[in-house]
Amino acid sequence: MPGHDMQSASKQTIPAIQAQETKSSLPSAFGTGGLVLFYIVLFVAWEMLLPLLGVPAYLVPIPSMILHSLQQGLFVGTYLTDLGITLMEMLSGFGIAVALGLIVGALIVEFRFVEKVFYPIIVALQSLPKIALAPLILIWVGFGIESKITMAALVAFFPVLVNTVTGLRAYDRDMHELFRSLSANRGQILWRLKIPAALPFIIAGLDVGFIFALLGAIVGEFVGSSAGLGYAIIQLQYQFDTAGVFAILVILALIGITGHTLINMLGKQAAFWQK
Amino acid sequence: MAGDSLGSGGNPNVNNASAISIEHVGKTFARQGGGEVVAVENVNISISEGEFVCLVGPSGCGKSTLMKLVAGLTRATNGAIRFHNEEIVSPRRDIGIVFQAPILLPWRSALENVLLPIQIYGLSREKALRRAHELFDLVGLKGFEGSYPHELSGGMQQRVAIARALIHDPGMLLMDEPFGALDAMTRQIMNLELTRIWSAQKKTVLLITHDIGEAIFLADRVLVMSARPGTIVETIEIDLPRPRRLSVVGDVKFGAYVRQIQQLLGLDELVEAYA
Repeated sequence: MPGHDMQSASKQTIPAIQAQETKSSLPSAFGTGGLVLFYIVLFVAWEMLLPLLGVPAYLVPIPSMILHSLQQGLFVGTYLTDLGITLMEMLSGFGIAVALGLIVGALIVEFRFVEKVFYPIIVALQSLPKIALAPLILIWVGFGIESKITMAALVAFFPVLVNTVTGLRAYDRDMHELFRSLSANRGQILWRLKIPAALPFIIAGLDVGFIFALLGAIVGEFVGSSAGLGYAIIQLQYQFDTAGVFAILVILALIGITGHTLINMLGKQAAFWQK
Repeated sequence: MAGDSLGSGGNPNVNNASAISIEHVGKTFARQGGGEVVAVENVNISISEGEFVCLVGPSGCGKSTLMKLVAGLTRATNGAIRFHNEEIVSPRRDIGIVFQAPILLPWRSALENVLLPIQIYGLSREKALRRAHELFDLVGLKGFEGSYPHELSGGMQQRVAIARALIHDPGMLLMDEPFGALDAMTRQIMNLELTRIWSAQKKTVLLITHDIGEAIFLADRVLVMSARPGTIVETIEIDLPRPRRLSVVGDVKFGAYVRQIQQLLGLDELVEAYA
């Protein structure tokens, strides 16, 4: 059966991103207080030792300089505007990726011909490093915010799609038999069985997709833009303002952590039955 | 059909009308890589309305295939199965099914699990809610309506599954080793409960089991099935008083029935072969 072969091949090419175990044994070993103390010591050491070792600030800035840059950039400079623009780009792209990923994923699972026609294209695109498309996207979509949204959507689309497809196929076979014994139609099976069963997978896809959307937006800004956090990094790089670059990195990390936390909270709500 | 008057014990008023008739039914599966497997052959069963019939047989005798045929989940290769003179070609609403495993949807509360057939059938939720509460009472789960499956024990989960099978008031209950996964003690309690539920709901019951004692304890009539070919070798009327109590196991007649079925299943030869 060629369809089956293709399916198994595509499964190998695109392994789903599994829900990660976020539990680590570190905090329990250290205690939360111990962990905070450890980080304080780390930052103090960074602050004190680097000047003593003679590492120039334009290579690695010390925490107080980064903090100063961050403060200046946020309250005097353009960081807030840049943050707003990048957030707007990545969230729009993420939204598009999620909507498309869920819809295309459902179509692939529900309709054999959709899978046959589109899965090879998707597999081919999946194996391509999407950021290499950024220059092309810029030519096609323009230097404005749209090209960054496109980049964000393009990069975030795949983890959402792949996890949606895997998730929608992960339902329990006995439960499927139960629905069949109730003469449930396809729509009912999709809505009441496959989608709820897919939620943990979809959430894991959103988690990865969120970071990917940020990545896409930043790369889009690197390639050509006049605003945004990626643009700011390039500007600061030209000025050898390493502390400034670090300050932007802090903002980017905060975006990532916030997204991850929110999505995981959502995930715990949506998949509460899983331990 | 079935009234909701509770607590009417004693012998059921078995109607002469045949609720279900299985005539010359056989099921053959195509084996992968050619050849055929005969799962069941020339099975003839007639069950009267309100009758409790147990089908007992060794594992691999085609019990589950027969159950799927009656459930309308697969079609027979030959012969016909009729429910009130209508041939069963697909799952029927008037046959409620209790599977080997509870198969509860983990994202739904016990109550919502019980209401699943109502949703799938598009029946009135309001009416069903009243019945659901009565059923929770009947299966001894009053107060657990809001609990989720992972919060319930195996026995409680199977009680929920029984309530789910009864929610839309089907005339017949089809049970496939419903207590097979439970420990011996819980199993006895569930058997006792089942006879109570049955006399309260006045359903026609076909229960499949590999437990000889369970079959005799529950049934008006025990059908003994052999393996290879999977067919009914004997029908035994169980003449024991109702309501059945656990002490019935000590009855001389009970022992005689057990012995008779053991001989029919050829357990003696098996024991000798292993000795």
